[in-house]
Amino acid sequence: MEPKLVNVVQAVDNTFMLIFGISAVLLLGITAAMIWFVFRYSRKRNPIPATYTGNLLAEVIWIVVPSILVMGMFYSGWHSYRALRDAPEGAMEIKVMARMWSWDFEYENGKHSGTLVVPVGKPVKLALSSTDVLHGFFAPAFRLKIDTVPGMTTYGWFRADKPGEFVVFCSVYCGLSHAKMITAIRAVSQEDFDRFLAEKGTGSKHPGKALLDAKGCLGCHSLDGSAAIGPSLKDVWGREAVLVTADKKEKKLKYDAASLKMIIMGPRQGVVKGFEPMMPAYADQITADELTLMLDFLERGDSAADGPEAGRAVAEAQGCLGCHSTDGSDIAGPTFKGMFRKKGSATDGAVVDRTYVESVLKDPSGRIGKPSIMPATTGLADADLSALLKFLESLGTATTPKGHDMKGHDMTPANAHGEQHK
Amino acid sequence: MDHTDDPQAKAFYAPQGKGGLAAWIFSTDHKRIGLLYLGLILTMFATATVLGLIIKLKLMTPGSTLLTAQQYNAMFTLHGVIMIFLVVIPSVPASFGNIFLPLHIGANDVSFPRLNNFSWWLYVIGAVLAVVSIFTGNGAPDTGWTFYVPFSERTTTNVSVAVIAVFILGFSSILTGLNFITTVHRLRAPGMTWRKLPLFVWSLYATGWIQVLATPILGITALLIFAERVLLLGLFDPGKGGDPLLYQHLFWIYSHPAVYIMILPAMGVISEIIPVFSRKPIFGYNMIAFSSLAIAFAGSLVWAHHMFTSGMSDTAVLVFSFLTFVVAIPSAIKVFNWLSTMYQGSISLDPPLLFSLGFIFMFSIGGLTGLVLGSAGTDIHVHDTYFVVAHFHYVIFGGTGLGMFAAMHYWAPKVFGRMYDHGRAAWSFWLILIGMNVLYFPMFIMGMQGLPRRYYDYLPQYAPMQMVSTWGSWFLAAGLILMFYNLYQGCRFGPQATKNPWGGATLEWTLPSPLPHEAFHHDPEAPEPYDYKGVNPDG
Repeated sequence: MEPKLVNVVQAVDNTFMLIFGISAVLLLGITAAMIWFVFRYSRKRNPIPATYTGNLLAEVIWIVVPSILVMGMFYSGWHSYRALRDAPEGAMEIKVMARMWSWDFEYENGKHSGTLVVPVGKPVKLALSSTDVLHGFFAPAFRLKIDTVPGMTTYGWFRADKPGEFVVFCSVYCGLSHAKMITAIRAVSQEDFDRFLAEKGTGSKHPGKALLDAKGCLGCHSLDGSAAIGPSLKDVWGREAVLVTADKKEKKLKYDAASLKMIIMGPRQGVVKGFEPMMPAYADQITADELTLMLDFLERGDSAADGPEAGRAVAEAQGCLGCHSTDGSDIAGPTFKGMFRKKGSATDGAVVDRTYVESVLKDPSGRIGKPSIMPATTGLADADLSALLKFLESLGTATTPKGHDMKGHDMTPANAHGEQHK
Repeated sequence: MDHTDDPQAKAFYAPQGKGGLAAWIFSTDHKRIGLLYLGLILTMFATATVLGLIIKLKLMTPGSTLLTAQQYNAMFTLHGVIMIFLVVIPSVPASFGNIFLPLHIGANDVSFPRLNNFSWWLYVIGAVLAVVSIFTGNGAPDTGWTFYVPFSERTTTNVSVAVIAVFILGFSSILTGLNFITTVHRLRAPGMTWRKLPLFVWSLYATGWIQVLATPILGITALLIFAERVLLLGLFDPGKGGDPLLYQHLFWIYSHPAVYIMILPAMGVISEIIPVFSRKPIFGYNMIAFSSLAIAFAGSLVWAHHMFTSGMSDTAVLVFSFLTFVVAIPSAIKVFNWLSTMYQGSISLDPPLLFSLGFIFMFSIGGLTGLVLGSAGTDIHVHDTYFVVAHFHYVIFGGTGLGMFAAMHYWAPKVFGRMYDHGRAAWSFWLILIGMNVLYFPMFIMGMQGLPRRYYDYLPQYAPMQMVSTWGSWFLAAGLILMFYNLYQGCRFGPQATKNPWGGATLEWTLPSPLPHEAFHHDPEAPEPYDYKGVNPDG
């Protein structure tokens, strides 16, 4: 069989249609018969009931016919399952690592990203695993779902036949932020994909720039000042523009943190004069941390790449921010805000410093001295590690160690929650 | 004072000799134990229903409203654990099974009355522990009722206490099953051959075997989780060298047959009610009795259809998908036989029949959508989505739930000797039926659209369906309140019920209403359970 001809989504949908079709006929038949019998054989219309106790032929028929029907469904279901499972030869392999509560995709050249970027029309084979508990990779648009199991690699494949963004959910319940463990498959042209692959990962370039690319901003907004669908982002910070509000009033606008946030995250007060209102709403697709990075890039450009904000990208890519907030609130782990110089979670009462963070990253449960839900971080490049530590330090140090005791923080959802209420 | 004219004074629940609480909680009378179960089961049902309503209220709109994510996770876990282990599994067998299984076979009690009382105590202890797990330790369990590892190993919430509760509840179920099997084998009245057993007894007999054979595996699995959490053994957690898929296999080896523990007794109730109200012998007695055993047997071989996406081998998917379709057939047989029983009958649409027909409708939807889940290719898409939530609630609430309500309306006049209001019962039925469908049908659509279950929050595209679903929960709640009020009112203050208000031919209808302390003073003659010649409804 020529693998390119297999349309998996179509195969699965055909099985759905087959089963739903037969089921609808059966349900209607059963319900109609029930209502008709209640009416036709009511005690008023039919005071004398029949007295027979069975009919062998009828019973044989309704054993044989349903048996044939369900075997047909079984075959059709198995056929579409095979289509879902058998990745075509030569499919591009991407490694997927799930963790509480974010995704990491690793491409063949070693590049990592948090959204899955794939070229249109090319089969992609996923090799999935998990660092902590069970998760499930679920891309409804491709009828694809496969659990990610720690210590084991599972496989799945799909092919995006048209460009676009497709949602990816976590399907296996995995704790506190299960519902927030959402990312996207972004299907782009082969050229865009190659460009994406060639871009270096975090570290050298500003992560905010990578985000602008990953979120599709650069499709409409140029970075070199050239005209495009939307205003160029070159030297945008501090520039002035005119905003046309919904009731056609014109209003002066200066691009800064507040106004850019209003435009990106909404609610939008209008459209920049000279442009069409085409920009989609991003409130659900861009996190506060990501926005901070993007704005940092727009404000300071590549020169900021070596600043602490680069470490935020590392924290984001490593999934740290899924459990550790940067704004002082507790999620599942202690907040990064003002973490340095606090007493750590370790049983020996050590204070958080660079050495402590490094050793916790390497072996959380071992360093802390009791089982922790935090997975070990492996394969972190030295540059990324130092960027991460710089970032943590930039979030401030605790001035009053007393009363800011992290001890007893088991880094688990329930505990974090419990402390919130104290 | 002479109460001899008052039938209520001779009832099994009337004080006799030393009365008081002890005469109930230490009673070995199967009827009193049945009522004790019924009371607790309904209390637990009310509790878990309130949790369900709160969950639906939270989900009415997207965003963080009403509950925190942690509270939400604990709430759906408790809703599941209470509903499954404390309500649905004991529902029909522990309450009505206890009361009517011995009477149906002409016995004055079960084989082991003291063990029966002990089972109830185990149920109480399990329930208390489940409640304790909510309010002690590091907070209520947040694992979902499936306790999947490694999450259940790592969360610091009170999972250890909860799995011990499940372990103890398992024993309550095993001992009840054992008691019923022995009773059916040893205590049938003379002449009560296997082919004269009411189908309710057959269904409880088949259920008993699943309880005895499958539940110990759940007990062991719960203990293994406890051992892994407390003794830090490496069994399921890959971080300790264990295998998470092993846990899923062990869990579903029990928990899939458990679905048949839940549904078979309700099917037994339906098989009793439909012929009585059609005044026509049950169609294909042998096939219905046989299909109960076939479901119990084949249902034990399909557990891994819960694991098509788990990463187990494709060969296993092939085998379990095939077996799943095989087990669909006996369920279909039952539905066709029930319909054929009504054909050319003489049907009186009284409340018990109304609820039974509701059962057939809801169970058909639940069963047919189960085919989507049994088929490998389609299961991948809808697994762990709202489609599964909808399917499960159609089968278990629409099936077992309505079956239980049908049983309550069918046997209430026999147990309490008073009759409820039929009009109000019909109103409550329609409210419940509409409420269930408005509540659960949108979940099929959301599941097809990819909304995963156990989500505290959801994307805005699902908001309209979630809103409709929440409205449904209010209709359902209104129907339930009306139904329970009507039953309570009827059983306390309703008009005196006659001996045989529906015209049933099984043995309990030869006894006075309400049931007396001792049912049979000498062995009764075994009747043909579905022969209505000469058996007429009173009045």
